[in-house]
Amino acid sequence: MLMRLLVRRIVAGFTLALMSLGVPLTGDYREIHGQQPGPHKVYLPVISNWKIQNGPSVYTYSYYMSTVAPQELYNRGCDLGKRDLALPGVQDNIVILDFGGPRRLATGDYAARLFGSPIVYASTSQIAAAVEAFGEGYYLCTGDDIYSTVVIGIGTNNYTYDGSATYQVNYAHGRAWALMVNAVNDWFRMKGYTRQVSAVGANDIELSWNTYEATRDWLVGYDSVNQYDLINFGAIPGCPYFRSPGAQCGGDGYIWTKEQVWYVIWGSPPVYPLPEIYANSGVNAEQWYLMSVYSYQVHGMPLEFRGVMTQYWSCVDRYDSTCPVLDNTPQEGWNQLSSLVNSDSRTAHQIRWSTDIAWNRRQYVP
Amino acid sequence: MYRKWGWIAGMVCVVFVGGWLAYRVVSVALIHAVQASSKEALPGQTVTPPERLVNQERLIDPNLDVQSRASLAEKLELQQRLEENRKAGEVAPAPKNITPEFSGAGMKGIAETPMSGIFPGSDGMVRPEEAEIINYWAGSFGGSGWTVLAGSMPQDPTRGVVIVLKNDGFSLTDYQFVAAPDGVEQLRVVSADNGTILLEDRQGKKVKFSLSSMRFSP
Repeated sequence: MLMRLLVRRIVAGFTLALMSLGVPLTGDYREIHGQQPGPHKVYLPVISNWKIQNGPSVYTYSYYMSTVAPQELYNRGCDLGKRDLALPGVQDNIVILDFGGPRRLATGDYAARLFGSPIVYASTSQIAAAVEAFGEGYYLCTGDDIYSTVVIGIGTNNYTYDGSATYQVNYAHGRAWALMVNAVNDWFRMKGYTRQVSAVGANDIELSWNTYEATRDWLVGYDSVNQYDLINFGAIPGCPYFRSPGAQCGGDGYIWTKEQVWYVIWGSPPVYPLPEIYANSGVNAEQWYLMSVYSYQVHGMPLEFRGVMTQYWSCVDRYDSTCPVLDNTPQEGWNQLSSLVNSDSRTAHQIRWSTDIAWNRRQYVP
Repeated sequence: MYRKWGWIAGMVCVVFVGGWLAYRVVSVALIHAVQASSKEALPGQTVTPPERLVNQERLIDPNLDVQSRASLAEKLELQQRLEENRKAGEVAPAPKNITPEFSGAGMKGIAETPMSGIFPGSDGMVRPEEAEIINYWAGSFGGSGWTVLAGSMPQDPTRGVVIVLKNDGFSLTDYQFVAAPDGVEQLRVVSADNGTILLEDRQGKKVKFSLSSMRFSP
C-alpha cells in the first residue's frame, strides 16, 4: 500500500518536473499567436523563447541608390524576403537605402540627388513610392515566414560645398523628409504590412561635409513633424581615439565640438546611431565608444547603437584607394564596436543590427 | 527500517533528478532541432525583441540631465508608435499571395529630366581621405553614364587627379583613379564634349582627359 503510494508520488513528481520544464505534450503554436487553433489540442506551459537572429551572422545589404524604379526596389526587397524565408528561425533586419544628397526641385518639391550619372533628382514622392515597393517586396516574398522583420532607413546626407544653394541641408528639407517617412509608414499600415515592415528616416551625417549649424537645422526640421526614428549612419572623423584622446572632431575645414557631435548622434530626440565602422585598425569603433563614454559622463546615459554599418561590398564594387584600410567585413566591424562597448559597464548593451552598404544589387546566399 | 526508507528516498531523488536532467537534455535538443530546420515556433514560444537601453525605467534615472530626459521621452514615444503599428499589422495582416501593382506608385513622383553638366564639390561620392575634389562633370557617353571628378591628392594640391565612375543601368560598372601627368596641379573641369573632358589646373595649365582611352593628353 505504502509502496503504491510512493510510486504514485514519484510518477506525479516526475510529471510535474516535466511540466515545469515546459515540455509540450501536445500543442499548436498558432493559437498562442492568435490564429485559428487546431482541434482537440492540450496546451502546457512552455518556458523558452524563439531566438531572433540579427547582427553580423545575418547582415543585410544596404545600397547607394541610383534608381527609384519601383520594380527594381521591389526586387531588392524580395531578395531579402526570400533569404529570410529560406533561413530557419526569425530574422530581424535593417536596410539603409541611401538616395543621396538633399535637393529642391524647380517645382518647389523636396528631393534627393540619386547616385549615378546622368544626374537624377528624385522627389520625396518618388522616393516614398520606391521604399513602399521595397517593403512590399519584402513582405510578399517572406511568404510563410510571418515573424521576420525589416526596418527600412530612408537615407540622405548632410553634404554641402562652398555654401552652394544646390545643397538643401536645412530645416525645410528635414521636415519634408520626416513627412515622407510618416507617409510611407501610413501606407504600410493601410496595406497591412506593419507586422513585418516599417520605415525610419536615415542620414549619413559626416562631420567633414558640413557645419553643425546646418546639420542641426535639418535635424530640427525632421524633429518638427516626425513620427518615427532617424538613423544616423555617418562618421565622426577627427574625434578622439585611444592614441589621441584630445583630438578635435571634424575635418576638411569643418570643426565640431564634442557636444555638437553628441547632439547629432544621440541628443536630437529622434536620432539613433548606426555608425560606419570601416577602419580595419579599429579606430572608428574607438571613436564611437569614446563618444558613448562622453554621453554617459556628461549627460547621464550612453549611446544606444542600433547597429553597425560596414562597406566591404562597396569596396568589391568600387575598390578605391581607401579600401585597403577601410574594408571591414560585417563581422569585423560589428565585433570591433560590440567588444569595446561591452567591455565597459557604463556603455554595455546588445548591438542589434549589422548592414553592409554596396553600390550594386547583391544576391543573398542563405 | 530507517535504512530502508533512506534507500527509498535516495531512489526517489535519483529518479526525479535523473528524469529531470534527461528530459531537459531531450527537450533542449528538440527545440534546437526544430529551430534549426523550421520557420515555425514551438508551442508557446514568443518572439522577444533584444533588450534596449532606451526604456521607461531609465526615465527615472537621477543621473540623466534635462536634455537627455527630454530626448529619451521622445525616443520612447516613437518606440511606442512603432509597436502600435506592429500590433495593428498583427490584427489585420495583408495576405501574402497578392500581385504587386507598380503603376500607381510610379505616378506619385514628378518625373525629372536627367541632367548633364558640371557641378561643384564631390557630392559625397569621394571621401576627403581619397582625394580633394573641386568639381565634377556628369553626363552620357557611348551609352553609359559617366562621372568625372577633378581635384588633387589629399592635402597635396600640387598633384592633380581625376576619378572616373561609369554606370550602366542601375549598376556601377567601372571606377578609375587616374593621377595627372607630372607638373599638373589641382584640377577642375572646364567643359566636356563627346567623351573628352577639358580640365585646367590651378596654375592655368590645360589638359584633356579621354573617356575612351582613360588617359590624359596635352
